[in-house]
Amino acid sequence: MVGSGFKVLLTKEFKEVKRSVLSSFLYSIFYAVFIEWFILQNYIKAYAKLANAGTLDIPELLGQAALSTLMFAGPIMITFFGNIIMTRSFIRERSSGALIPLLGTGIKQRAVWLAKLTTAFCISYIALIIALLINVLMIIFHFKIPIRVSFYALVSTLLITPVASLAVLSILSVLYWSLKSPQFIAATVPTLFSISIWTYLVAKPRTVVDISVLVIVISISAITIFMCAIIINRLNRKRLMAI
Amino acid sequence: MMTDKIVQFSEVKYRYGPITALRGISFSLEAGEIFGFIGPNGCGKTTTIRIMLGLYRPYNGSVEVFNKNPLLNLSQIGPKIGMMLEQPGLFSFLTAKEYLNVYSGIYRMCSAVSKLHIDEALSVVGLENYQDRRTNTFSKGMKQRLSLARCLLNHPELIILDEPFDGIDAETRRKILQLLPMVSRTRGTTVFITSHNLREIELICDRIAIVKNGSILALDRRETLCNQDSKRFVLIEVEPGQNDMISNMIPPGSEFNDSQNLIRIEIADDESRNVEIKRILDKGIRIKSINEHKTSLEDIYFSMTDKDQ
Repeated sequence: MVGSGFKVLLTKEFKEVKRSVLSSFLYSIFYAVFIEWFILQNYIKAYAKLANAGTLDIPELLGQAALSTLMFAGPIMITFFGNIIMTRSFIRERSSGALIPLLGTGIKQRAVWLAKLTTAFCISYIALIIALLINVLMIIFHFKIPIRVSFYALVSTLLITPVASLAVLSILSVLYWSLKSPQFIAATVPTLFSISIWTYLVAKPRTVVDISVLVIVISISAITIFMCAIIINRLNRKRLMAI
Repeated sequence: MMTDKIVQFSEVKYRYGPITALRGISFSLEAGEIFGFIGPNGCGKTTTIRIMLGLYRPYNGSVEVFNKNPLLNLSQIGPKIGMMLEQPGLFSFLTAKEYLNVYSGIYRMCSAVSKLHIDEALSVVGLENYQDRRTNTFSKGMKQRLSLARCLLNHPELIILDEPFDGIDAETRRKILQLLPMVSRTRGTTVFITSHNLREIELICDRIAIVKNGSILALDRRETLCNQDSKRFVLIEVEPGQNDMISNMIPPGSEFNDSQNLIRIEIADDESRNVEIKRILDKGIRIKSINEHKTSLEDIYFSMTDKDQ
């Protein structure tokens, strides 16, 4: 399905990203840690007032708040930071004319696209893991908040939301590849997605893994990525190269 | 039936919105020839290349490259083509060697062949000492040279060059001028080259098409094209102060420019040239220099494109 050249392009994308987005990579981790710190500061202040009433288990509440913000990191980091990596590479190659000889070799558009998507996802996922580790250490040692990392939280943070984010990333890439000025839509999509995930997590707090949710999310994401791959391969080459 | 036609354009038309870029052009490229496609900016040269590469879909006419439609069979014909386009199209954060490695991987070369071809391509363009430098530190000329190295990497059967002489130094220009006839002769490679550097085109091309406003004004072998309106002139620069004497003796059809002290005489052959020079010397006219001018591709090009205006 991918066509030849995918592995070569994947290696090339990783090399380029490694050399070009280090500062953005560090910034995204810093940003995720800062947001966690900022939110927890506010929770601590808010709960301190309630603690005087003496009716609530404040450490327990803070632990839950800390965990839900951790679970929310995936959609933000993968859709925003991943999108930056992917579009930067695509726009650079489009404007420098590098896409023309590349596509002129007969390589499938899908292979070029998938290499960029995979790289963007993997790098943003690594950034997510690092940010999560720092945040967990910060919560335990700096804020001294006891958190109970459940299996559900792990599956949700490390699998469900990243897979859904990958699907959103693939939709964003189709927008960038097919529209001349996709900036507004491309900024709106991850924002709406992040708000939806947040709303879902707040509205339906869970403590155990719901297999049906897992299956639905993975199936919808796989179908979305598959559809995007078909659309990308059918896109007019002229449109792909247009600045 | 198999033919020796590497590329075949038949009545190809292309439009960018309301602007017509190609108005039904037809030509073919034969195996092993160097074909020049010349014309002013915006005449449709780059559009022709992009159609040839299957990147643009013409709205009329048919295109075949290696007897196949490039729009539908790019994966089969792409590996047989090498291209050097107006923009070098490099990957900014890779070194020259890594860049060529990407393409050798796409062409599915094994590591031994890949190394051989990369070393050869870098050496041909004179970048062997810069192979580990990132391409975003290269000058424009070096980028063009690396683009040429990529073009030669897969030993293509068809080389497409879009304005290859733009922004390169004299040494690289000379290399290209030596290289193209060499690969055409030794490997039977067909070369399609667009340029507005007419001198270079005249030096290396077997056949030339002159294009303007999306139409081919002339297409023929270089010699035929240059000889169809061929005229030879001898330009004799004389010492000043002999105007009266010269005005009385210049033959009909010749001109005397008294501000430049230049006599321009049309000649048929070497013998008539010698006769005219002897006649002037016999009249006692003092000569400073003698030069001969033959109708060049540039003269033909301007006579055609000016006529078309």
